[in-house]
Amino acid sequence: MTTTDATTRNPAVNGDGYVTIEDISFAYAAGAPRILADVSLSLSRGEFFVLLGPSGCGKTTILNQVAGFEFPTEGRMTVAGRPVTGPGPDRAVIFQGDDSLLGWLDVYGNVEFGLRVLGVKNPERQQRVRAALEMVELGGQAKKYPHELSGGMKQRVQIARALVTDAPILLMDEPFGALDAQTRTTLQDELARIWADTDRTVLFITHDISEAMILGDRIGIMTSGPEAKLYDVIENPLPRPRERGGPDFGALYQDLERTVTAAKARRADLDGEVGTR
Amino acid sequence: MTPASATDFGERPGAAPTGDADPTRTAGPRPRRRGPRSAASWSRRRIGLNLLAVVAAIVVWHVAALAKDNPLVFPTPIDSARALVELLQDADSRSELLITLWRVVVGFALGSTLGIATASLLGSSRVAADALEPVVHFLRSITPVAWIVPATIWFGVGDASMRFIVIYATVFPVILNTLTGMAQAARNKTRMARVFGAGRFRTYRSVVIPSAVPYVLTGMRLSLGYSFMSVIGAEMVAGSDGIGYLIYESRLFYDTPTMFAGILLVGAAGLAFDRVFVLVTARIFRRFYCGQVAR
Amino acid sequence: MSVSTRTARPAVVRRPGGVPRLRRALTIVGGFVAVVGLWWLAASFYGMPMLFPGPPDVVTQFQSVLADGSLAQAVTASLGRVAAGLALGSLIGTLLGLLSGSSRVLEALLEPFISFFRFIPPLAWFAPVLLWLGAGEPAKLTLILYTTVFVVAVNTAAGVRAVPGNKLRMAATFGARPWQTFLLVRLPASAPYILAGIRIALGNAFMTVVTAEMLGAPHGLGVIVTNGMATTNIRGVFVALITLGALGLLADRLFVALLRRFGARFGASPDVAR
Repeated sequence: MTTTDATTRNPAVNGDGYVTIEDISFAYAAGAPRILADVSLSLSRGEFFVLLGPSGCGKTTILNQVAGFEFPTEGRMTVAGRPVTGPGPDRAVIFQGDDSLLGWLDVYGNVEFGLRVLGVKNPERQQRVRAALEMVELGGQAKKYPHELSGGMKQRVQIARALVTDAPILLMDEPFGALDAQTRTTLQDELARIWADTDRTVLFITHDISEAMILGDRIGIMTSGPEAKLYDVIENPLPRPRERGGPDFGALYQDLERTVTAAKARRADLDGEVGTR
Repeated sequence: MTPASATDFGERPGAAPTGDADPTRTAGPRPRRRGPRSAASWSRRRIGLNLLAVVAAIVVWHVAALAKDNPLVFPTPIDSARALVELLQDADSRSELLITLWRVVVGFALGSTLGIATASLLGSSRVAADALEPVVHFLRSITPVAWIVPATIWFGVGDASMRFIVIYATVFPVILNTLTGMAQAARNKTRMARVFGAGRFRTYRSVVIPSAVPYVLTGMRLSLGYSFMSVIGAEMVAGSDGIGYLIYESRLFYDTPTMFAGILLVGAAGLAFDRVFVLVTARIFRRFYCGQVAR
Repeated sequence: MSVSTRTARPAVVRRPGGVPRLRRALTIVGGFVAVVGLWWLAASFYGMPMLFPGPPDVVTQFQSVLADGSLAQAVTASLGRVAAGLALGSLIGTLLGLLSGSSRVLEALLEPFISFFRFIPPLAWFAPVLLWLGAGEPAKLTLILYTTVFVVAVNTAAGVRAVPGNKLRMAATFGARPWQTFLLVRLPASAPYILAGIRIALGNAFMTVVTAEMLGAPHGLGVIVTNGMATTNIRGVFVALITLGALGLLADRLFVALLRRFGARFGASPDVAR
């Protein structure tokens, strides 16, 4: 492990507590198997945190709980010091898939939606929508409807919609999971640029190791579910702007892949424990 | 009767249910958890609310009828229930109901068979289907009951004409839905059949027709509703027997309780036929639904 | 029949422009020509134009009723009834559906009535309605209302319940109030379901109005049909039947055109229905 010295393998690595997740567990019903078991995490203001894990491990559940859509069965969460009691305009969400876009509104209308709900008046509203559209390079597509857009463009609309209200926290649930590989890399690079320009705290869910490396300041690796746990948190030493390839990239990739495999094996250990209990 | 509470959108047989079915989880100021226990308690509450609504409606009906105080125009629920019992005890009235039901059964069976056969023939040729589908749409848009006049002239008053009306009401929705189902047979499935060397006829028999089954059944279920609708109308317009005639005739004698009893019977019969159709076909054709539940 | 009952009309998947337009039009015309030819043959074979008129007799009859304005009068009367009943019925049905789709308690209260009345054909109510409202227009309007309200309500409620959870969650992240979520998300998202309900209601309304007219009205297509019975004017009956088919088809196609134009925006695939 040549890169061990470059990464800090220490689950206790913690942020400054801007977003805290304390010993949360989650089960769909009392007595049902727990999806999540005793997960703790602390995010710093302004950091890009990636949760990496296999499908079905409960990463989305964690994000939904931070968003306020679901609530932990045990444990507690705070955002900016206050407990999470429901969704709110301080946390914008970029959803997996495109079904959160409103098909009857054009691109402009979709991006404008949050500002209208929040009661922002024109001309400020118009100016902010324009700026957000420019930022995601959709300036020329404002009058198109979602069904006329490619998958990548739809996710850009979602990003613009999340940016326009200036929510300090962005929650992103595998936003590029359904895109083709080329579009995905383009959007990853653009998201990295936008994030650098805008000073947001991001919680980003993915199962793609290289995506996690390109985007994350820190990468949290989950074990497989049920009873999923946070296995390890790794600080990403790669300097920004990041490039794919190169020896550092390759080495970190290998290291992460080993950790992910170990996290899955840990799951196998847990199976053994459950069996003998 | 509104047999077609359907949407043309999204819900295709075999399509997996999508979306978050539980929007109540979405928001809320306080953590809300809904496990199986709360689901069970809701289903009990729901039955309670159902009953409450029915009881309330009957009470309102009763009070309104008492206020109106004219059983010839507006009978109480008790009068109507009594009339219903009398109707069911009277052999003549019972036979009126059976006549109507038999018309529905025979006409529906013949019409469905004819519809499936016609659509299977049409569907095997793209040109024929394209050419005749608009004609079918046109014929379907003609109110079945309106055919009672030519039908009476051609087939005489009585069962043959009634049967014609029921067949007419049944056949077109079945054709249209069957054609749709055949067109929906996934291209990859037909290609798969070809890959294995299946000929045109074999592909048709083994892939296209089975894929259409859920659509055919949907069409038949709609048609069952239209059959009831049409036979009641036809019996009122040009009939001399049947439950539709009984309802219409009781007006002439100001026998309003019997009228209400007849209406209740028609509703109950329609409901029973629909449930039986769904339960039976869901059981027989379950595998064609690819795991999706027919309701 | 639950709300999940599927397409009432075909939703044939076919790409527009897949078949050249002209060829398609010719195919459709060919279909109608073939059917008219068959009719002509059958009528000649029957040999009694008074009882089974062929195409030429019916064309002559069309010319005369168009000239004396009686067809226009009948069509106006029937269409007016359908339009008034459908408009009012759709409005009430949509409101009921929105209410019952948004609240489980209201749904549970309305459920028994919707599933019971659905199976009572509108014509069964003809006799009591005649008794209560007399033979005039209010009676016919009531029957059309009855035949439209429930389908529209059931479909609307299904639409409200089918709104994707992520749309509602999205609105919640911006702090939308319940009324904002309702007006800005739930209502527009249910639009295709509402339209599908109205489309079925349209067919029901035509069916009901004609039968109601046959049982008694001053004017209307149903009246022509029954008069044909009394006077053995089968040519007149055929004219009425063809007009009915054409009107029903036209109205339905109009709906489909609307859905094709705007359907995709509401999450319906552009080839919903033809």
